[in-house]
Amino acid sequence: MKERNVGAIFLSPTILALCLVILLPILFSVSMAFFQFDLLRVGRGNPFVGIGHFVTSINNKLFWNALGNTFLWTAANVILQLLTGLLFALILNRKIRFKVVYYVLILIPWATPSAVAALIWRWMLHAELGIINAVLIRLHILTDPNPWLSIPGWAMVWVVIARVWKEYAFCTVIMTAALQGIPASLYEAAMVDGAGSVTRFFRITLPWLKPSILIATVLVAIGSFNGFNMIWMMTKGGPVRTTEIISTFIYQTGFERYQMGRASAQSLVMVLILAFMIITYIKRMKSEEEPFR
Amino acid sequence: MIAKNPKAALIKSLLTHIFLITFCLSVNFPLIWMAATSLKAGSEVNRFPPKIIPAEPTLENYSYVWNDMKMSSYFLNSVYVSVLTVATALSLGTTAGYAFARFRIKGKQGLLVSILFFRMLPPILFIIPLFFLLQKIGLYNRLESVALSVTTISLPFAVWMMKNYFQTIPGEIEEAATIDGCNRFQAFFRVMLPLARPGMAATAVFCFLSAWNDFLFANVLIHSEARRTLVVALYSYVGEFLIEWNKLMSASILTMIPVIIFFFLINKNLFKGVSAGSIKG
Repeated sequence: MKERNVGAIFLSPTILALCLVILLPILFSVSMAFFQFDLLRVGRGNPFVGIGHFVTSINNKLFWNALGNTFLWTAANVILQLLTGLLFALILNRKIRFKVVYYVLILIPWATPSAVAALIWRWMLHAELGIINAVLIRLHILTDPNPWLSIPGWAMVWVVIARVWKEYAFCTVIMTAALQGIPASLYEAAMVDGAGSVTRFFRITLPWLKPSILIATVLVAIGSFNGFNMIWMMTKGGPVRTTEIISTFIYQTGFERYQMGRASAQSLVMVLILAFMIITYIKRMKSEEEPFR
Repeated sequence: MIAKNPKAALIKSLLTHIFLITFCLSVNFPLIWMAATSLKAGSEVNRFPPKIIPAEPTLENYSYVWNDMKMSSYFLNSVYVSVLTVATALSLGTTAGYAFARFRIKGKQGLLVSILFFRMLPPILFIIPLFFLLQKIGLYNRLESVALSVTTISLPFAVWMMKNYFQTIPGEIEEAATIDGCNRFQAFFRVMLPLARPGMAATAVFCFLSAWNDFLFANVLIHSEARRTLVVALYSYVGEFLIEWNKLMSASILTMIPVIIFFFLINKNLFKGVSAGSIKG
């Protein structure tokens, strides 16, 4: 049997599956975006609306509000997750005893299902019984319990903290792997040349980590941009839409107001923004790399 | 690095340990707090300020959620969905990963990039059309449809992970097998699959967890209470106006147990897999 045919046999079931569970839904979603698809008005039929849904979405202030929140949420998540993840990776990179134990303990929050994480944080932030209020009152930072998740501004702060808590370990794993790849001879040579620990960090460690940091940034940004669970289960986008991100906004359009056509259009706009961001980022990454080649 | 004198080195390592212990305790505090709450009686939970260590620890909450709140049947639902997802994604991902790693295929690079792109798409994009399509073919309100939907996320991942893993296995091994008289299929099933076991284990765990933790798809696609998965059931209790936090926290712990077990079972492979799957990706 020819080599190429064997490859095709191995590959074809997956291609078929990808077409069925991914390509078909995407195409269906694209076509839905041009029709009414309003489940509450089934009696009126399902007329073709052209680009109507796209126009109403782009003119909708709430859509822009959700988009703005998404950018804020994504940026905060990327910065905090990378910094925390890098910090832990650097500490764990020293020669210490019980390293494996520490490593596993640091990774445990990552293993928490997002539903569980959301519930734990809701419980800790509980307005009357929450431990966070209790601690803050004990430390005399607060005099009365605060309903954190009902205060605009604070709600976003806490959902970001909760999500960073759950996800930072991903960066720790990637950074730890990269740090282990740094040849010890580089540091030895630098020390012979009299470089201090700060110089060594900025001249050796950081440049060596750069590719991993860039990739981690993309992955964390995509994960946060597409995020849904934590926010939906902690605040449902409230109070007064201050934590509403694009995913929860689309979910409400589709599954609470049953405007499926419009929700499809919105999710396509979301994908376009996402694709634009990824492509721009990768292009910049490439153009920055060139001078070193 | 060589320290200048042993005393300074000792203090330095002591400080590192204190620092690390403090950090480990504080990042795990939410989980400790969950465990503590799950052991408290109802009257103690409603006391403010709360105490970390339960006054009279009890396992009553666990038996209540497992039996009276039907967590046991939701648990089985979650297992069913997760196993189905793993079976689908792993069998397809392994064969495709092998094909991508070893064969010359027309448009391979394009295919791989588009699979990677699929992986980056938001789940919310898929759930709207899937909701309709699955209804059309009569799979609405069935656990199989949840598994099928989770496959949109886990299949692209499985393909990339397995492709990367097969690339780490030297090609000479198959050549030797072919010389010994195996054809390509025998070489795959008898030689490569056993070698790829660690990679498959890591991929399986990831697929399992993405199904186990899925909320969006199961929440939309499952209508009847008896077919809820654990995560959806967990969330549905929050919707009720009076939340019993001690019971909810013990249900959360039950949801977490399989995850933690997997996590410890294969943590070595898991970490290798993550770095391979993400960095080379």
